[in-house]
Amino acid sequence: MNSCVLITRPNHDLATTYLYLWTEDIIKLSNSKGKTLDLKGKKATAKNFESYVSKHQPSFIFVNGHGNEAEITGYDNEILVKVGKNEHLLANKIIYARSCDAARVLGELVSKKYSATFIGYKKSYILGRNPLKTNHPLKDEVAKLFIEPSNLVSISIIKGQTAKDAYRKSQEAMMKNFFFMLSSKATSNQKDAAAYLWANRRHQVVLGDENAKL
Amino acid sequence: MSNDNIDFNNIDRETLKEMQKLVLARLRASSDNLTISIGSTEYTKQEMLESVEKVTDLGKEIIEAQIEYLRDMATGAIYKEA
Repeated sequence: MNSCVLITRPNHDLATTYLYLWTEDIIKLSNSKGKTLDLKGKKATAKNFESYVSKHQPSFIFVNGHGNEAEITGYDNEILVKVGKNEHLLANKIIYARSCDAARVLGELVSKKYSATFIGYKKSYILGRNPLKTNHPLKDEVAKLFIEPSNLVSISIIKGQTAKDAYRKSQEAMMKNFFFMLSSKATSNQKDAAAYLWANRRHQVVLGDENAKL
Repeated sequence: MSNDNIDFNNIDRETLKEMQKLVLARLRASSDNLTISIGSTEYTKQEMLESVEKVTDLGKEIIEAQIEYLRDMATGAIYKEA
């Protein structure tokens, strides 16, 4: 596989802004490893996505944005990939969709029909937040517990590990954070967010060739 | 770990009511400094409480997340995974 990586990270609402900022370190890592295409903010459009995928054939696509069982979206919730329209764009690639529900239909389809490896969520991707940290997302001690384990999927893939190992590391990190949240060291809002991190862990899946890697 | 989802279309009213009571009690006792984002929407504690009371789509998601968590704690499934 070539090692070109495509990352989408719109920032049109609070949730996407959080993911946008927390993806910065992954961009830096990816840049240090090879060719990285960063569709950030308003650049995360369907037109750019299609054009970048067709022209550069990235081996790994990391999507941050909203979604549903049949779609993943970019800036202003513009549809980037939709079942029955352009799911072929994901053929033969490793995809990590940090978005709600997309593993359920889109992920199943591209992993079975288009030889893609799809890591994502079969239900909502829930992000817990401290509302007092809205202006400082990177200092949000609740969001950190949710986002850092999910970042591990992309970090592991970019470092050359298999999809299965990337998934396992993310699952283990969620478990570690979950037990921290149950401990006396956690703040009250971290404790109260534990059920939602547990839901993310339950619904995260890897579909297709688990041994795929860059 | 159980993968059973709650079938809100076929659940009997009494069971749903019990689940609702349990989740509402947990939410009422929870921190005011916690919001959750699902999709593009942010939910405060008050909005979560209202959604569970009315069993909206969001309320169903919250009930499911909380009940799965409690069930996996009670059955020890969480500790088997550790």
